[in-house]
Amino acid sequence: MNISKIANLKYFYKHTKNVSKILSFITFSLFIVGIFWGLYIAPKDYLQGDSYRIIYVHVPAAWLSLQVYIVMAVTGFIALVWKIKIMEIISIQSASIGAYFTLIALVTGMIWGKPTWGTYWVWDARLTSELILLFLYIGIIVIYSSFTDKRQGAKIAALLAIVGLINIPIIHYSVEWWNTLHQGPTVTKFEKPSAHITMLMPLLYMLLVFNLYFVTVLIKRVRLGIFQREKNTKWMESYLND
Amino acid sequence: MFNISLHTLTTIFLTLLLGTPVLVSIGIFGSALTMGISKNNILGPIITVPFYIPVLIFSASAIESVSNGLPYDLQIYVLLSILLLILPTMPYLLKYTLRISINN
Repeated sequence: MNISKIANLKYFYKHTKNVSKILSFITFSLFIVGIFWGLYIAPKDYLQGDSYRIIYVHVPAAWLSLQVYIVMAVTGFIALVWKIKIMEIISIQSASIGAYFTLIALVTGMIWGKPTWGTYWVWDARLTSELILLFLYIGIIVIYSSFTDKRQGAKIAALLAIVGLINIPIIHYSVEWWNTLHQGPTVTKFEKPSAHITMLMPLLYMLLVFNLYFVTVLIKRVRLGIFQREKNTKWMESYLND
Repeated sequence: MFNISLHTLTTIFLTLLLGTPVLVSIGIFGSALTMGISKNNILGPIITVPFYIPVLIFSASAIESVSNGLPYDLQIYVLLSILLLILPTMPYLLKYTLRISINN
């Protein structure tokens, strides 16, 4: 099984049906375990009590919102340079998944902000740049859907995604560059993480589960994208009739 | 003028001088992106709004600093570096965007 075969839309569509089913089952069971670990087994925070437990959703979602953007821009770049069809589809389908992750990160952050900061929203560097990321995602989706020629739309959306890549380091380093209300990084300080190991382990586990979720949903959405693009071709009709 | 001191006024003009070419370039990029869509000319400016924000933040911050009597050279340097980054790269980006928009 080589790369050129997987990149073939027909091959990908025919061979990922079972993969996506198995993956969604695995993701769902791992997610249940992770939620149980985060919400019951992990110890209480001495300062914030139980309210800190929302990090097991908030941090992975925020992390994924950046990671999905990088995936979208890189696959978009590959689609522009080497004109691989499946990369266009992966790029544009990542956009809506990333937008959902950004929205989850913002909403859980607001819910967490009320008990700890006393306010839902402040115009702080981290929060504002994350909101800009949401607007970028929405812009990419809107510009793609307003093109009638979907290949051209995917190229333009990929171009916008690549230019918007400049926002990613701004979001990531915003807590270090500006004095913000949002706390600094907790996990990426590898020498000496500021969270205790019993709180850190479920967080890293949830990060893994969210990554797996992203892959699962991406495969499903790419299958949908292939179907939308190839629904009038001969092979799709014969495949559906079988 | 408008009860603004001369020092603040020069800073305002400096941020305008450095910021306007960047904003114009981003606007051109937006309209180049949407050239392939007919009768949808409002889309380009709306989509490129996120790219305006760094320029607006640093200009506003420079003006705020100078009116509080604080040093503002950092913000001016950031604006200048954005301008110097945008000016040489934008023509190539626009060429590529227009080629995608037209060649179809």
